[in-house]
Amino acid sequence: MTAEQIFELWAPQGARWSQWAKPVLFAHLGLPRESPVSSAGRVELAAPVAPPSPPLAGIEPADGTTAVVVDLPGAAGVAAGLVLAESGYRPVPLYNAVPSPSPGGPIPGGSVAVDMAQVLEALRAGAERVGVARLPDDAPPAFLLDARRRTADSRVLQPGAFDNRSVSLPTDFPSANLLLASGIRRVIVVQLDEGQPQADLSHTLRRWQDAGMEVLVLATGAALPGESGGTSGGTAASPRPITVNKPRWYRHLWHGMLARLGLRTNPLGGFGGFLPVPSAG
Amino acid sequence: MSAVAPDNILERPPSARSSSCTDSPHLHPLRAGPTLSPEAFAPIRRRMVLNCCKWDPQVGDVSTLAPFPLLIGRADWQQLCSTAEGLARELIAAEAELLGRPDLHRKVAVPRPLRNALAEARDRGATPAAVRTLRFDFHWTPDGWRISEVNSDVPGGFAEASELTRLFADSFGPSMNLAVPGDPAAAWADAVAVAAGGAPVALLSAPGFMEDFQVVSYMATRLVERGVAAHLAAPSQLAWAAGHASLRAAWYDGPLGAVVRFFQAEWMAQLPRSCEWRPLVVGGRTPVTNPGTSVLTESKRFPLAWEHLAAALPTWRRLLPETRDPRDAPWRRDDGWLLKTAFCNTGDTVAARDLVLPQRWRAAARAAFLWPGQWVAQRRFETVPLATPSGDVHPCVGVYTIDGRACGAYTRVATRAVIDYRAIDVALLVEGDRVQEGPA
Repeated sequence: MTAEQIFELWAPQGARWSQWAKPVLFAHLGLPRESPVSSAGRVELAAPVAPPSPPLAGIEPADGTTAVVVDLPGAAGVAAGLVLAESGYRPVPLYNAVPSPSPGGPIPGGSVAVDMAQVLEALRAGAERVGVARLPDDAPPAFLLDARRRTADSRVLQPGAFDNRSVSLPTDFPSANLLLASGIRRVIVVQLDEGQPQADLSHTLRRWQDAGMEVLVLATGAALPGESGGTSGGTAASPRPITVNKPRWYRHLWHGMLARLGLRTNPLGGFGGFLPVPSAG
Repeated sequence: MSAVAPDNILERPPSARSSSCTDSPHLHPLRAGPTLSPEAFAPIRRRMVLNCCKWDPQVGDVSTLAPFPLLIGRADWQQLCSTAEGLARELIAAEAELLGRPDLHRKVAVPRPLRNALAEARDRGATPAAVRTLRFDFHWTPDGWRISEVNSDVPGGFAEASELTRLFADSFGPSMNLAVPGDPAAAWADAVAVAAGGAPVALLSAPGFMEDFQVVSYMATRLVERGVAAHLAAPSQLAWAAGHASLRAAWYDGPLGAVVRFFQAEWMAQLPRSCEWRPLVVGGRTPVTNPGTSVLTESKRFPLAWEHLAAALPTWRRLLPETRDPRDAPWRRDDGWLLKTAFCNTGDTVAARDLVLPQRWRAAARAAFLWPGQWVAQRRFETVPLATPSGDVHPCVGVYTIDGRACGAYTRVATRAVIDYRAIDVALLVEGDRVQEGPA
């Protein structure tokens, strides 16, 4: 299966929410370490391994009024997306981390701040399963985020590491107006615990809440299947309504910059200070 | 890619040279080309996102790739190229003169650590440039072309300028007699490969900024095509010895032939002391692009230094709207002025009373009052909207010069008169033998 075919299964052209899918990881499906490329230039599909499924039974099958935001670490988010696809939700990958510092080169083990190898593998292995779900074009979205995106692994984030951390911004999602116009009135956030969503994601959720959408949280528990110490299965909790607190710098003119500035809290991060806007002019 | 069959053209363009602004003394030099059908446009979008590092094709509810091109007559394009090359010549001369005038560096809002490095560069010589890339943003007005700014420090948009344009040209095929205006990424990569002399190249950007990561990733692939090893890195991962740069990273630890600095010069001033950024400006022997001296002309306060320079800058004076220190302009009572920061990028800090929300205008006005040396007031100019299949838009044609030669354009359109992050990228194609219908 080629990278294009895999991308088409995850983000089919005609599907309503496909345009929001982030292409970064799909553009790296041919990297040597994760996906040996045959002499015919085709990405070799890994053996179809079913990723462990987070406990999501508390989410009702899609009826067109509910969207989901999955904010789980690593490949667990992809696994959740596959489960949700079988319940009628369109998984929309929003992974935004560049996996390798060298175009076409291998991912150096242990020296990338947020190692995306398992997520890449899960996207590749899960592509056919998304296709089999035969979702309608207007299936409601389940946006998939990597909960590790801003924090990385402190053991990895050394001076020589490739710092590929990222933040989620409101412009990564459809607006509340568009969601409401599409009949979507509530959103379920799937995350490890029952607390407030991550600070960067809160900027999006608070906007949606301010526009009249209901926000609920479904906690999968601190130990996910497939994560260290986790077990398969788990209890099926129900989503719980929450009020998303107004995050710092909410609707601030330079929120995007400030959010990324937050990445420099790690003393070894690449930021140098007040970064007003992207360098690209 | 094969040429698009007529059935794949969804909508014919508005009539040639149509414009909403019929009272313009000059006919619009741009017109919209045919809109591709979704079936014809989808492979272009897919190729851009999967093969050309266009990783932000959707911003909020806006799809940032237009399914139609803009067309420009050959004579009009040649005029833009000639003008851009003139602007580049004048800029390079003024920048060299400014480097020798440390007394003006504060006036153009250069941060103090950079001022110190630039003063030293005057005496010791600046770090050599691997290649000098500029992008001039042109807008069509009732009085002809005007520029809003030059991207002198870290111009982006190469993938859109080179790849999107080529894909559209391929789609329409030779029958429509359309040509690409150039391949700036190829010209840039050729020059950097020569400067690097076959040694590896590091491309620096700030972590977390996907908009910048996608630019350096694309440029790295163009270097790899030329047999040059290319590595994405952060400024803190550079090490210097006797002026020679090395990369100290887990995936590559060794000498470099050139450094691509896609990290704004004014940000370098904020880096911790442990980061060796000064050789990017002064004392380096490994060539850097763009050189640190570009901060002098990247500043939107650059025009405030003109009266103190010997350089005449006639093209700049003709095309750039009047620019003043906020303390010397009546922007509070005259809505014919706008405010922007000295290091404004992608239009993010452009503010005018009727252009932004009241809260944002108040914030900008307050900041310009408190820190006038970090802002400019600029006289607004009226742009002529262009009729397209997406409605009336305001185009901005960003013409690249690489080492002084014009070589392509990054073109965007916006529904508002300001080009910012919500602008839509559009391919610009040059019409072969179109008859010029009016004065240009």
